[in-house]
Amino acid sequence: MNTSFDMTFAPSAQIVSVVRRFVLSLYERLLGRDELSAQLALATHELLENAVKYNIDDTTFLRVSLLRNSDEAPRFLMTIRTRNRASPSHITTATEIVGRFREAADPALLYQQMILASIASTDGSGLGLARIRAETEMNVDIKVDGDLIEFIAEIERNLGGRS
Amino acid sequence: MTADDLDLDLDLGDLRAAFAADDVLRLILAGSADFNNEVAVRELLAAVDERIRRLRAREVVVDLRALDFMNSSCFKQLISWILAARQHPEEQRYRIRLRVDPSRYWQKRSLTAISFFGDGIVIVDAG
Repeated sequence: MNTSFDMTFAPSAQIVSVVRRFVLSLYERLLGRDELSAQLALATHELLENAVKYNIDDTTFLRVSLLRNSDEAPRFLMTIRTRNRASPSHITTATEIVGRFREAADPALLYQQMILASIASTDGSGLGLARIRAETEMNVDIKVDGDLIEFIAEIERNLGGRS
Repeated sequence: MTADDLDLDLDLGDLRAAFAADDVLRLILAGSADFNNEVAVRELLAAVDERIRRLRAREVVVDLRALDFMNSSCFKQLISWILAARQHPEEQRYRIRLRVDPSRYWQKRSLTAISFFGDGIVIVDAG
């Protein structure tokens, strides 16, 4: 069951939907028509759009993995990572937004509040990140190293009966 | 009103839209609404709103069943339209009937947010 793939590509908005459909097809094949496959596809799309939109050079990185997390129970860790270079202002905004997720007691309510706030703004609203947290229950984290920004969306699931 | 008045079709490759007036006004969306066509979605919904009000219709059906995916930016445009429609004067106000396919995960989950913003003017048909 353990599987992962990496992609490195020049930022292209056209590629995002292609990758989403690939992720959905791949994990439906591996997991069956499980909601988890759709959650992974949704999170991949939103993270990748951000990575393409806010990239400041010619490389965007994506890794999607499904790894067994325990020998004793059929628990698997699903992880999506995107990495790209970004402007200091975007890194500051993104870090603040992820901090709000950590403090939010109700991710769905935060998402609704962010939708309302974003209607008056044009960019950098963090709606895609909020949607991942609200609609997939995946944890969203951020790592910053200079101008490199990495988003990690993660969820642990019991996939009993599949090996 | 003529049929030409209601020809509001859109083909952007990944995203297709068709607006039609039979016994009811219908906007049908298919494909994928994402980063590539956020502006087109905003303009389309504004144009649809204008047509509905011009026709003084009381309801529009928005058929999302063939829409594989809608990203958060386009979803925001849909919410913006709903919020704007709520603010119309009584004589121009209309219902938005969303026809959805609950087997599509994003449609099922996003209904929660839609019902939060709909405030009586949005009806969700999950048939």
